[in-house]
Amino acid sequence: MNRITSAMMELMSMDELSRDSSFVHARNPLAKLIVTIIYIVAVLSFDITNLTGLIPMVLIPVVLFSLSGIEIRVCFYKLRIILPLIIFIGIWNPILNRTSALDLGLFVLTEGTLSFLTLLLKSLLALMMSFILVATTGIDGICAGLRRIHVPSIIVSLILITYRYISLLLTEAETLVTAYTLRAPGQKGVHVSAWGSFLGQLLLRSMDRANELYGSMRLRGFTGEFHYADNDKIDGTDILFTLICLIVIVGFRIVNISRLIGGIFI
Amino acid sequence: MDKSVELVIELNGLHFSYDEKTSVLEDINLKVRKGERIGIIGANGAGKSTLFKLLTGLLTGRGEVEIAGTKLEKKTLCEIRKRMGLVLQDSDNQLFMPTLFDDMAFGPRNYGKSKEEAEIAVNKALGMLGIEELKYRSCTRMSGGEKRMAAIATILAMEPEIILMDEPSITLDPYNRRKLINNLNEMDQTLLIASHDLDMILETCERVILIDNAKITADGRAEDILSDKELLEQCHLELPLCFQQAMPYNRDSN
Repeated sequence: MNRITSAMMELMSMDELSRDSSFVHARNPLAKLIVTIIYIVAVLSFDITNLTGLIPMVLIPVVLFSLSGIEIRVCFYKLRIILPLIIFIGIWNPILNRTSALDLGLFVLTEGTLSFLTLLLKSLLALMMSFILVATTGIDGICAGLRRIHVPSIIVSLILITYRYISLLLTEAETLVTAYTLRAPGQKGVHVSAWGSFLGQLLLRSMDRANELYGSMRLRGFTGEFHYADNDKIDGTDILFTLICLIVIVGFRIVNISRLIGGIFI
Repeated sequence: MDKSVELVIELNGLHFSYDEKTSVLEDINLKVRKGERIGIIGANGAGKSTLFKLLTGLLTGRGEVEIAGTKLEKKTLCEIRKRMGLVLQDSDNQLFMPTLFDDMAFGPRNYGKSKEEAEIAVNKALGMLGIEELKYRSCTRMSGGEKRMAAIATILAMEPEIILMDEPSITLDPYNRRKLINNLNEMDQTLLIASHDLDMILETCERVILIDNAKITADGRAEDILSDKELLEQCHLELPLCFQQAMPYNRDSN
């Protein structure tokens, strides 16, 4: 299986995950969207050196993963591409900022290291929460939720269509690579001399297909509005779920639980 | 033409070209009555798919297009598309939702049906084509033939009055092709089928329109046009197999 095919399979597996049934899957997309947005804002609002305050926030995605029946390792596997980038951005902090934050004699924790760990954890938590939203809601549910909170339809359409076009672009790229490979035995990848025409063809073919696909959507009444989610009413469980999550998130944001627990023992 | 029968499609002087130099369709005049089954035939690039795109407003040409008494304009597009479904030539372009059920419900929900009503329409269309087992299958995990049936099902679920099908039998195996022919014969909607599968056209349509050199070259009874060897060969087509079988088999005759 080539890399393009496996990328497509991964994209499809996200859609498949969203079709499972669990307590989290059954919640209204809007409820999950609100919880995710508030959670991400809360996580990002922590001070760059407030690692102890941030640690209890780990509990929320962990509980949601447990309730959804999705294994956390699936999430980490999917995030393997983006994690090196986060590490690359934060790795400079321990090198550039060597001011001592905690001196334990043998071990000195610098502010740079602390900010690096906080940045890493913040990114990880935001990504985990976004993953659980996508994996339990699906892109259509998320878009319907965005419309309900009055995000302009043009932006929502853009998100939905971009998502759809990623798989379209991958399909076209896969077809081109297969056609190339069959006539270039023994070659590893696409030779540099063919890159120009390869990219040009990919662009033209993708544009053509995107146009056809959008035409097909319009022929079936798509005008940028997500009418098919109109009847998904929010019930009592959704409201309770949202309230509990929000109380826990705000509670963890205001009260430094780690320090509180530490205070009991010291 | 019998005036008592309601006209559902009326084209007057329709003209279309992509580059203003070469006409893809020129002076197309056509009247289609309610419930008629028409086969649109012609060589590759004759303009069959373009004609369907013009009828659904995906392309805009010169001339008049009237669907069920409503003139095709920007403001009437939604109303017209609600009454008319188009099965595209490439099924991959028709299927864009995660599962076939989502894809089939997309049209009915957009046109105001409730979740329950849409599900009834979906089940009815699936049952009609006998593909109930595909309901929750991801469209990307279907075979070419399954995708074709799925694409047709997405249009049937909208319950349109007029159905346009661009090469519906393409990629279907003989068994599914036969099933499709039987299904088409059971439908009571107005059908316009563009295809190179002339045997299927002969079995499903009572009227045939032959497009050649951007114009309607022939318009008449399916049996008359599809048995006219000379006319078909002039337009880079050949007799349907069922008519060819009357001739002795000769591999070297080409």
